[in-house]
Amino acid sequence: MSALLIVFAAAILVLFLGINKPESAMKWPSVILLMLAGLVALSGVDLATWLTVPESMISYSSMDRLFVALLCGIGALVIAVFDALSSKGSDRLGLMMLSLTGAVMLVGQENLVMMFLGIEVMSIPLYVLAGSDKQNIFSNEAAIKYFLLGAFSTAILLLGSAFLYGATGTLVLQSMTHKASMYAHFGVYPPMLVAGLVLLAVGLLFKVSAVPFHFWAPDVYEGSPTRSTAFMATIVKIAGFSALLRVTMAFEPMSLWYQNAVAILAILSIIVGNMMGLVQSSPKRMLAYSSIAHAGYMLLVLLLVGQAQFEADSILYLYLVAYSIASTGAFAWIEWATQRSGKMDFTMFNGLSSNRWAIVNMVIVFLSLAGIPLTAGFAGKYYLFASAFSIHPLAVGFALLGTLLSIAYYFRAFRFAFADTQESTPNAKFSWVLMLVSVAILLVGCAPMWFMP
Amino acid sequence: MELILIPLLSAALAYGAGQQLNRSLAFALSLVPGLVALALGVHSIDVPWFSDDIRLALNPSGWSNLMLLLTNFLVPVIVLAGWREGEKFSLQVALTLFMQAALNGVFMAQDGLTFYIFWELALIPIYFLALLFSEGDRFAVTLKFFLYTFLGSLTMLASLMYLYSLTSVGDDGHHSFAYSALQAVELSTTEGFWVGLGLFLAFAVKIPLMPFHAWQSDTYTQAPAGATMLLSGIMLKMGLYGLFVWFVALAPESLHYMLVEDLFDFRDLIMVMGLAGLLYGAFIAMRQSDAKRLIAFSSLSHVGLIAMAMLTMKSDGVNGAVLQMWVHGVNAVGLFLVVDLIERRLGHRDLEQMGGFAKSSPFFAATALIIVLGTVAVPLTNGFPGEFLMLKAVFNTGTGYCGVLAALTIIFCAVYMLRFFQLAFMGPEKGSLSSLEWNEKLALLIIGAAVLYTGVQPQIILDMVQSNTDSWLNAIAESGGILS
Amino acid sequence: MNTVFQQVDISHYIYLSTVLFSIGLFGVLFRRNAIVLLMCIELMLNSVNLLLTALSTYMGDAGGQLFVFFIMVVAAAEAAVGLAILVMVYRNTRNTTVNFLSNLKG
Repeated sequence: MSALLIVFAAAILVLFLGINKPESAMKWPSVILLMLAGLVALSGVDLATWLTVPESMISYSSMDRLFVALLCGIGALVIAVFDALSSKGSDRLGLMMLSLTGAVMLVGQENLVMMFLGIEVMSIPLYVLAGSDKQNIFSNEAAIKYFLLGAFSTAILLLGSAFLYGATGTLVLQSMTHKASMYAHFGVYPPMLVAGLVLLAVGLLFKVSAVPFHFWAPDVYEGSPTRSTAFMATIVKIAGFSALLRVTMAFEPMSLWYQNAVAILAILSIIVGNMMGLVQSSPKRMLAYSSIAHAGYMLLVLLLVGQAQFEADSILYLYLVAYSIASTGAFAWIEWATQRSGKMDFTMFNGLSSNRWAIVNMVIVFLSLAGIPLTAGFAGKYYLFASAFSIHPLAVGFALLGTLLSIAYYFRAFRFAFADTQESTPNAKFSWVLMLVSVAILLVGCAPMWFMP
Repeated sequence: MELILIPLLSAALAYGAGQQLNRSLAFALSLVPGLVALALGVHSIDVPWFSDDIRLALNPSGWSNLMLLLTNFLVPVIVLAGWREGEKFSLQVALTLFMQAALNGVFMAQDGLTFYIFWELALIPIYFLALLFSEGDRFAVTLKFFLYTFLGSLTMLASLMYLYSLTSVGDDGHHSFAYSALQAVELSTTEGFWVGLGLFLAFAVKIPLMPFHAWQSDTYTQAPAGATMLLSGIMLKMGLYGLFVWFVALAPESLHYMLVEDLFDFRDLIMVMGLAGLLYGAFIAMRQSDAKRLIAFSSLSHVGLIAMAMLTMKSDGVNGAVLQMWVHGVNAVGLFLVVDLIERRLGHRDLEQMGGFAKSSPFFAATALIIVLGTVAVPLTNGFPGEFLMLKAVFNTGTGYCGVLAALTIIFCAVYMLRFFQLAFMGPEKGSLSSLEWNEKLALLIIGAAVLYTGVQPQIILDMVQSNTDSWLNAIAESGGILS
Repeated sequence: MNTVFQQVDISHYIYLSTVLFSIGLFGVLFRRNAIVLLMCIELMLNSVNLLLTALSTYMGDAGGQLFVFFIMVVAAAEAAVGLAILVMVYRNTRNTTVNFLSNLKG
């Protein structure tokens, strides 16, 4: 709760100071504030004892606090990385932090009202961020697509909430669990409950861009300024999956009923994401499809809910740590390569290998996305696949195949990076932040137990 | 553990040194792990890694010791002469040393996941070596190689995870990934077949056995000499090592699986694959005029026999196969070195355009002859004892055809190896070679000495692995595997 | 005690709001003008409001009506942002139909 307040206060502060201060002056203070919020979340200190919040609205378990810390850390990382790459504009920082506020709310939600508020507070600033490159027609297109489809999916989610409210008589997730277990006990599910659950799931799947609700993602990711894209691809996924897991846990008594549907969606996401990723000519679009595939892998976590021997939330947490760090790194490299070469397709990577240390960092980032051992990506994938294997071997089989396919497109970046030499050195700040990313990836990869709650 | 950490550290040092790294320094760096291990012994380690039941377990047994010897003996040779000194020398050395760390890990692993992780890790440096320094359409070729082997690795991972889920639950309520626990799992024949198939694919691709060899000749030929030496000298042994230790010993039940009722089981299939590779490789090698391709196909032929000998599951055959793994590693590195030394000087490796090098460089010709004779398995060279043991075991197993056909390999091998030597070193002089550098001479000398020494004293190697082999064969016999 | 609302069966409210929602949904799917799309989305949101109000009245639980207030506030904010984006697009393209949305494809 304290972390939420800190992030929110920081967002308001940055928004108002932004009236007469340049954005660059506020970047590092906001990075520090976000880190502080993350630390507060980790430690679990309650700074706001005077504030009483009903448990049925929002509450942070120790697991939720880890997710919050992850959100704050990734938010700080995105700001720090892209600060080093200099970007224009002054109002975006505040919007990013505001969006982060929504994400933090979403992680702690205990109630459909809070879930809706969290999603909207997270999404509305993102619509603006997608279009923040105002003169750029691609950015415009991304913004309007994201807005229309985002609002559309919110409406679907709301109808689902309303149906669930009608079927269970409550908006509190915990009370819904009681109702659901009652229905499950008798084996009869009223149509309103089923329809509500499906619609709610559709709304959330839209947000995390799982197939078949993924079609907006490639366009929006490609058109938006890269900083916003990195933010969307990480923060929204973290918060979205945390909410999805929360909802799945609430309806765990009905797990037999939806298990196959979840597995099919996961398989579809993995296939579509990886197959389409293979044929892309723009790295940004490739990463968009790769993020769809990653959403597919993460959907497998939902299969673990209700199985006492697995801790679905810590498995999801580790996967998200691995995914979001590596994704931020990958988008940062794309942004840097674009600025350097002015190109939008894979040739942007040409000659990156001329800088000996930069290329090592880049290789580590892409290897982690591909899930090669001793990187964070492998640790995340391993726990996830090994646990899901005993429940749904077929889905895991597809996931393994998807991993194989994904290597073909992640490694394309190397083909160009080593293709020809062309001297250019990233600035020191950028190198340092990226070095930090690589170290984090290797650390999580080599000693995953330290990060497994 | 030090066999992994030291090479990793050396790799970082070599990469950091950049242009300052010269040949002797690199050689010294690559020697350190082997020397440290010889002086202090290899320390085993067993600590929780991914979770309490998935451990970082490294503990060398007899076979591993031989494989560690092979790795830490050959890597310095490759560093010494395999790479041409140039702008990217430090990168090549760094990747080679990184590879050394991963290979040492593979050979010591006593835990399923540890094995898998190092197995995968070994792919990364060789991928980059092939990608960066190959000739021709390198991206497609290296990607094909990577995807092929990665596919095998994934099926292996799936099999290991399945075995893991069947291991008995210990006091702490967890399954175990430990090698002994995986080995203790009892499988039905059908179940064992699918598990075994997953494991087998990983190793069959890496060795490669006959229908999975599509990546091999392109990769071997187009990759730079150093990468080819790593691939054929050591990585291939990873496949053979895995074939016995991680496939035959873990899923012996699968070998009974009848593919054709009462006639043809899984073991026969593997034998046939080995035999097919053996003959196919030999035939193609006889017709090659590209020297590097010739050696690549001869390698395919030799490993076919080694795989067959392992599957005989007789003490002689298996011991011979392990001995031959060491021998083939040394000889393959030697042969690729010889070809590369010629190519460095002539700029091509077309056998038809070579000849008479024996006159201009007698030392080179003499060492090359020793290596060639070793490959042909002439008595008193290193190839002989291993081939003898293996052929004896193959003869005594199953029908006689296999043995007779396999024995032909000796003749074929003599044909193409001697043809190679004759075309390159004998006959009218077609250009002369400039003299060898010190490092090239040293490398040839080391290899030549190893060939002769093993030929005279094969018992040292056999003693290293004997007890280990026997315990495996007993374990397989107990779990109902074949010992016929 | 029956209020005037409760004299109508709850299922009628459910059908009505589902139909309203579907009208909005098909509008979003088949119309081309961005402003019409925005109105369709508003229609969807308001049909949910209607449903929540009705349900909350029938069940005697204030939660649903509370939810409605939140939805109204957020919908207003969303509409404001949406219109701002539309204005931005209009400045660049002089057009408010979504047909121009075809520059990004892979």
